[in-house]
Amino acid sequence: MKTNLISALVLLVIFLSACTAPRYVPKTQDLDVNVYGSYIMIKPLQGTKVNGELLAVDTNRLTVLMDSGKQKKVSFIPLKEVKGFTLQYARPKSYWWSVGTFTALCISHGVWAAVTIPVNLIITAGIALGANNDFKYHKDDITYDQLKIFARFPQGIPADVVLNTKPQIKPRFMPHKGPGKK
Amino acid sequence: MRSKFIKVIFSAIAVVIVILVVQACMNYQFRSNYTDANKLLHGTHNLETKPFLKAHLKNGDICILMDSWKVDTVKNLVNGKGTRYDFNRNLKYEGSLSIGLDSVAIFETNTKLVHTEDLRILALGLLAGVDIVIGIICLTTPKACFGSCPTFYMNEYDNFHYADAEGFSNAISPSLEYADIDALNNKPLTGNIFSITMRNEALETHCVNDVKLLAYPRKENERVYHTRQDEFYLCDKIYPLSAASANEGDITTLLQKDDRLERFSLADENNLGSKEEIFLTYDNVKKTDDLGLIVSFRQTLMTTYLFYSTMGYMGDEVGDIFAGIETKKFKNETIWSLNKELGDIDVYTWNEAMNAWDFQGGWYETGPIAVNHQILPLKTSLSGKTITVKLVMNKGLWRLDYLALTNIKEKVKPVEISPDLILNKGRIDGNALSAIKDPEKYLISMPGSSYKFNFTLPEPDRDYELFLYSKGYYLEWMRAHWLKDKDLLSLKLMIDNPKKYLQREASSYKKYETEMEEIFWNSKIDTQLFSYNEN
Repeated sequence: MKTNLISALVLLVIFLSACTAPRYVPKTQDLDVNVYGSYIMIKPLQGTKVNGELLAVDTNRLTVLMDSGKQKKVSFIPLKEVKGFTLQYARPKSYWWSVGTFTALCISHGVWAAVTIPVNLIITAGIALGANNDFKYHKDDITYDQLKIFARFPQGIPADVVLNTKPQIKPRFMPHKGPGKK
Repeated sequence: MRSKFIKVIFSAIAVVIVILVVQACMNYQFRSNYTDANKLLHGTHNLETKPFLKAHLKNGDICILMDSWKVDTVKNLVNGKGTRYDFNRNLKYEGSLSIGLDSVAIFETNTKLVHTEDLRILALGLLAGVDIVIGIICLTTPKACFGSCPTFYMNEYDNFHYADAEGFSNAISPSLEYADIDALNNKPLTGNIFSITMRNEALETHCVNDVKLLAYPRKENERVYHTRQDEFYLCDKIYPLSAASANEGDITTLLQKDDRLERFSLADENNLGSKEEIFLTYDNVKKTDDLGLIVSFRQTLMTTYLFYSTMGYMGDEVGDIFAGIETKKFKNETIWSLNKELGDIDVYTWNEAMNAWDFQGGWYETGPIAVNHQILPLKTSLSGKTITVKLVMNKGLWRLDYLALTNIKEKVKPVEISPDLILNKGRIDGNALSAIKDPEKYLISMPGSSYKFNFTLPEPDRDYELFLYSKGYYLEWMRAHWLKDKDLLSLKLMIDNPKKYLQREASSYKKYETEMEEIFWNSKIDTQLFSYNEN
């Protein structure tokens, strides 16, 4: 029973530690020099999830530069088709290292390790999981008007930028170093 | 004092959990947007540190101005040093920028996110502190953290709280080797393969000469119990406890069922050798000429503490002293003088005719982990439907779970079954099997080792009462920090005058007892299965 619990926790840790933000999501200290939109994961009412950089929020649709697939493309999701979304505006600090480190620390606890290992696993996994969920907004936390300010173009897609046929927007995976960061 | 310390540890864990909850609910407001320069100026003029300014241009470009930017309301410009990127975020220009206000769609400022990780670092710091403190306690007081003797489990995934047997607990040296029999108190069996797992969960070397299963067939409502002298009795009728009392008052519910709700007391603060009495009443006993008193019991951590103290007193002469034990330099009476002073659980029955207590015998089994299930045949013929029993035992030494009367049908001899397979970490270990089967050989089990013994029962689909026979000895590992505890005078006092020693050691043990009993019971997995009762 105890072994099953620990195995389940370890699997959860591995699974969750794999859920990291894309590399263009800035660190907290780079928020003021980041030139990209935030990372958004959209769950539509129908169809597959859309992940990518939030380009713009218009009155009737979200524009996203998708991350998935070899051919990066722009996706338009009508607001009425959005079931939910999660926006990540900064890269959370990873605490998954603490799960292994603190578990190892329990080896010196002798028979009490039977208790202290699960306690440490739960607490450190909780901390890591909590950190993983940092700097995020969900659909219920924020209005579409507020969401605009996390887009690359908070003013909306510029008139001269073509997106529909051959998108001019090119995806980037590494943000430029902003001023003062060189 | 130490009890307070334990509370501090648990409080720290609670604080960590609260921190996690608080941290999970945190949101940050750091970004502001302004649709024109006036709003920007009003929104930022009170800020102590001027933030970087992002100007989102109508054509999709973005300019990032460092904190030296200024709005020129006469020329309708924003000036400053910074960088300009196109809509694809390619760098276009870096240096002095002058941006026309009419080309700007939105201004954006961001407040630095600071101290976002403080609570988590605090939580990890607290947890690390708790872990380190527990680690230090375990290293300095290993008796609290490491078990002793081989532990046996019918369910291989159980932890030490659920150990079904402890083998040869008193065999601390080769010459003290002996065979130990423990009732497994097994549920009705199905199939004819029975497995039991032996683990070394201590800093000890276990030298196991033999492991066997003793089995006797039983029918519904029949049980087989064994005595301290390893005699086996087939029994069929149980008389549950009607009433029980001790110094703290009514303890009937604690002793009425074999449910691991245990009754125990704390040691006398002035004398570890102090005795206490428990009175048991059994009503409506129909057949009184063949009664046996059955008990489920184990020890508290007192003997573990005393054993480790003994090792500490030996210090760097531990090798010489154990060599003395091997060469019979010390008599058995000398070695076990302290155990003798601690005494058994003595059983008396009330003799109405003589108006006196009749001594019936006693139980003794070393070890705080596995619960022992034994019987004491009552020698005298008792009259009357109500039987009154008195237990006299060392205060703070025993945990009692269950006491009932039963009718003995007959004395029986169980069949001995040797293992036909031993698995070492899931793999068949032929060497281990041959070591167990050869009386001249020993299976050496080191800390962390785990061996699963498979036995084939004589008849499939027949229920058996099972007992575990284990024979061997173990060598306690000397800990470096015990060397500083060397005190041969205390060792001599312990051996020569155990009564006085138990008085002198009481205050030290009380500090240990409060801390360790609490840790032990707070660590329980299932609160339904254990109890904490002090008087």
